[in-house]
Amino acid sequence: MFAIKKMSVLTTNFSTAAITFISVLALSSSLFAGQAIKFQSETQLFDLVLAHAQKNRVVEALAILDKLIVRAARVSSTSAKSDLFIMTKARLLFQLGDLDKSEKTYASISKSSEYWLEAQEERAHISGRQGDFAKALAQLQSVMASPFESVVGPEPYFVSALTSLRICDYSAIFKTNENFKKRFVPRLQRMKTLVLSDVLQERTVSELISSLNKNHPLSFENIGPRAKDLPRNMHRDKDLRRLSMKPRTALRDRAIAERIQILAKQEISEIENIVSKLHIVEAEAIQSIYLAESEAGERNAQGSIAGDGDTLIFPKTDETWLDELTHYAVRVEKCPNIKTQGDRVSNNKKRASL
Amino acid sequence: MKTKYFSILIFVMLLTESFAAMAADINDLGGNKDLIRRARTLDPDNKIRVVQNRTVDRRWRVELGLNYGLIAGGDPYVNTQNLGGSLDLHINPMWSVGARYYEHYNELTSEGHRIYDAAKNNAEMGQPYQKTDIDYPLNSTLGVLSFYPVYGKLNFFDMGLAQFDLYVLGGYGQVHTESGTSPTWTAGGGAGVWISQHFTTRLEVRYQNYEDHISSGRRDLDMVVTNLSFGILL
Repeated sequence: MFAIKKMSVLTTNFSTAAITFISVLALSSSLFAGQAIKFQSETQLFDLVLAHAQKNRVVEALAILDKLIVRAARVSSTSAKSDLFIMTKARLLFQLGDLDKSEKTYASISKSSEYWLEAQEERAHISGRQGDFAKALAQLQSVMASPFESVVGPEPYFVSALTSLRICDYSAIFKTNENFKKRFVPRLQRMKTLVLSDVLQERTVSELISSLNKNHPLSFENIGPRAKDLPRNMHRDKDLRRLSMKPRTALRDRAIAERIQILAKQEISEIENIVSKLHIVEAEAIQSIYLAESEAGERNAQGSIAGDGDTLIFPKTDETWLDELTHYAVRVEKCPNIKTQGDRVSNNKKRASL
Repeated sequence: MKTKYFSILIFVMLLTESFAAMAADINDLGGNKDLIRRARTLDPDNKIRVVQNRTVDRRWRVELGLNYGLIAGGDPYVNTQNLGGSLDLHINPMWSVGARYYEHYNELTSEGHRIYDAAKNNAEMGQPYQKTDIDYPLNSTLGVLSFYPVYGKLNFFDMGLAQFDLYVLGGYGQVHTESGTSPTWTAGGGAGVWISQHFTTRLEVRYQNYEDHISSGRRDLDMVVTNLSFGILL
């Protein structure tokens, strides 16, 4: 309290001092009391939300987030910031265990949003958790469609492989892993090149860095087709965005280059993590193949492909038509019902533990 | 200085080694051919389809159209073109009933001109000639019933998508010729493209039969009618 009083005395502008004093007091009290104050900035409030979430105070975090979403909607209903708040809300609801509400919140992200793909992937994750594997696979068809190959991360491949394991579709697991290899071996090579080389000597990176300034900050549009050679979602990195707004100097360019290398390392680490998980899924699949060959059982169906006179049903082909996204329907046959009770319990336990 | 560069070199080598290990790890994914073959024998009967709503609702909607057509067959001495209108009531996406009206525009074929000119010359020279009689069709009116069993969608030069239906139709009506009226029936098929909620286009090919009346008596005429139409869905 003494330090805050001294600061306000030293400040020449009394009103600024008063606001500063009240803001600091409010921020410190709100951190303990969990109450958001109207005149705090969105960034401060969002940091507060994340702080609450990390301490597992999800209800408090959601209360602040709801106010943020309303505030963001007043400015624009379709901004990236607003979508980030909605995504965070959905994730918090997932953390709370309210899967239905979480799924509905993800569903409110529009197709034009940059978070739409991630929202679909996380919806598929929820469907898998709820045991609706047909729905999970249908949602993943949109995420893993060929137009999004260069944008989508490694996680959907794991969700797809895991869902295939849960329904004992073993050849789908191998197919997913093959596709994963095709996509991420060159990607790993590219990230490795970014980490090991002098990034500023690379034409792609140096062109991008030299184009960044206050009037032309880092954004998905500015990165454009260079995105396939740069760390994924680097336009969302707060440090990079801050650096991109600064006037161009050699020091700034070097700082951006180093940050890109850090993001490349993080992406390598993310891919490595998924590779490990895919190995586990594949190992489980191989073991299950040996077991399944010796056991008979009937498979129960899940999901339906139904239409009426007003619906059109087309086969899914390798060519993706963009109007078909989110319009996939899947009918699956789940794992065979094993005759022996003991076998059923042990196999289901193994799959559920993944 | 030497120690610093040596440390950096060791670091880069270690990093390269770990990347090589990771690359080997990822390349191990995917199973071998034997495993994949065995997995396929256990494949479940999973299906993935695209399920979409019709973009154009065709339940109890009226379609008005203008059409242009060509007739192949019929009287061998006459080329006939049609201009006309259509009115269809779509009951649901599978069935519609409608009416067609065609105004026929006729001209002699080259063989028709030859026959007429030869007859005219012979007549002028006082020689015997064969009088060629043509019973020109003037207009037709038909009632039709259409069934749309097949649907699809088109990519219009990457500018947009349009759904379409292939249909079969049958109808009955009358042809008004110079000599009088004659019943006619028709059967055929076509494609209807639903460009937007209010614009349509159709290409129709149908067989039509009627009787005309010339000096030698009544005769059956078979023809194939090809029509292109543009319509408005109300």
